[in-house]
Amino acid sequence: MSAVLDLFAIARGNANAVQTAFDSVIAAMPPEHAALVREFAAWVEAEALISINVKLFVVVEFLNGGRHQNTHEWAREQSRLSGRSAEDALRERLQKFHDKRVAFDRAFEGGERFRYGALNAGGAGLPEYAPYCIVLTRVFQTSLSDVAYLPGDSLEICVAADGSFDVSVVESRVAPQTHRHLLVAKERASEVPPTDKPDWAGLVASRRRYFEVVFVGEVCLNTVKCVRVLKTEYDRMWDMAFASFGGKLGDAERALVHDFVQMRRGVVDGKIQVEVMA
Amino acid sequence: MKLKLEAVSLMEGIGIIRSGQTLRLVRPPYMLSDAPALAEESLQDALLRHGFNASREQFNNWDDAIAFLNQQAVTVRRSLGKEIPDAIPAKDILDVAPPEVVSRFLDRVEREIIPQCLFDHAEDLLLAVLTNRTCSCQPGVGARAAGLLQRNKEARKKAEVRISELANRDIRFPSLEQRPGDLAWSVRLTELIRERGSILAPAS
Repeated sequence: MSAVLDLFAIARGNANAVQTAFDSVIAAMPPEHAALVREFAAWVEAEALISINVKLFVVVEFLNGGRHQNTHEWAREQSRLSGRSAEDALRERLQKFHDKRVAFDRAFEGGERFRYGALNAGGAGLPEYAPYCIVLTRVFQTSLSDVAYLPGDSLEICVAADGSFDVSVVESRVAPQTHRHLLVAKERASEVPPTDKPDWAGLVASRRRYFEVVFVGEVCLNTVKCVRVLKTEYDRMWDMAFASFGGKLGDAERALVHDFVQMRRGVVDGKIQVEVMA
Repeated sequence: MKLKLEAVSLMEGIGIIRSGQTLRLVRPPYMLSDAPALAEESLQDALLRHGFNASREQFNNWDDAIAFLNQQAVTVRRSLGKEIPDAIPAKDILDVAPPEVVSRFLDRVEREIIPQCLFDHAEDLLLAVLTNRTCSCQPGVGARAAGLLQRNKEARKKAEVRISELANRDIRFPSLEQRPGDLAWSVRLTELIRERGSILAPAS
């Protein structure tokens, strides 16, 4: 498929539509609920930042001067290291999910430079496979010119199981930077009134539901505000570190403890901030 | 039953393994109690979002699967010039451990390591805490570690006394003494074994 669509231009063009959709949802609500949803929208605008869940070694890479790699950048690096084509590396890595990934990325201009994150207003993001949630700075977020917000996983909402891409979903649901909070508030409007304010962060991102942020930009240590990790994972790593005193760790355990100690060194030296979430 | 590795995070030796109908996240320290079951659809997230690699490896048992995951971590890190150290020095860990973690370490020495009679292990750890500049700055840590070192020393002494008593005890077989006939037969049997130099009777 030739790359003809500009995701970010589509998002910018959707600003009025997102505003209209928000206004119509608010208009249909009782005044006290509408006021709460407006308050929620303002809170999202003030609090929510872009986050990416990563594995521990990625945090260590950042501390050592590295940068975030998306799947295509990883494949190109594999190609440089091994001599085989980046396409082969990508196919081997993703196997049956390959077509779905490239259906989205290659539908857009510059799609192979896209990074995928999630809006985060508290919490550890999507920690199941990548327990370290890097939260990017507001300065970085506001500096982005190429950024778009979707009400969920782009591959779930825009790509069918057979790999076919539905551009109309993007065209109707994507929001620009300026209207991200209205997208979130409109999508969660019915859930805001019964939710206590301290739990609002869970409406923005929870384990299986989030607002995806697609953007183009370099992510490195300077762009990281903090790293959030669940206490269970944090304690698990300290338990492994404790076990290492007895000298009985396997190779992968030692690798993880080594990485964890490096991350903690980064904290002690003031290079990175880690927030442990209950 | 074959175990199928569906996806792997090579750098960390973490695998998503299918065992029968169940998909599990298998990660260091590779304990079944720490291998959460996963929803089928989350496999897609692991591959598409979180940098896992799809795999077709199969294993006959968990030991083989874990050996493979460990080996992957070594191989991939080596290929990137990142050797896994043979050991993590206690000093490196203690230098970056916050006070609540050091306190938890001391709790575990008290509740697990000393009661399990792992006296050398306890001593190494406590000496590392006592000589660590970061830990010694934390209020109460030095005094508590010194107290535990003393307790470890006393527990070691008691254990050694128990072992020594056991070794020196005149071990008899009270049930034989209660039955004189048995005792006499046992003595004769002992002499027979000594004479023929074997516990086995000669072949007839």
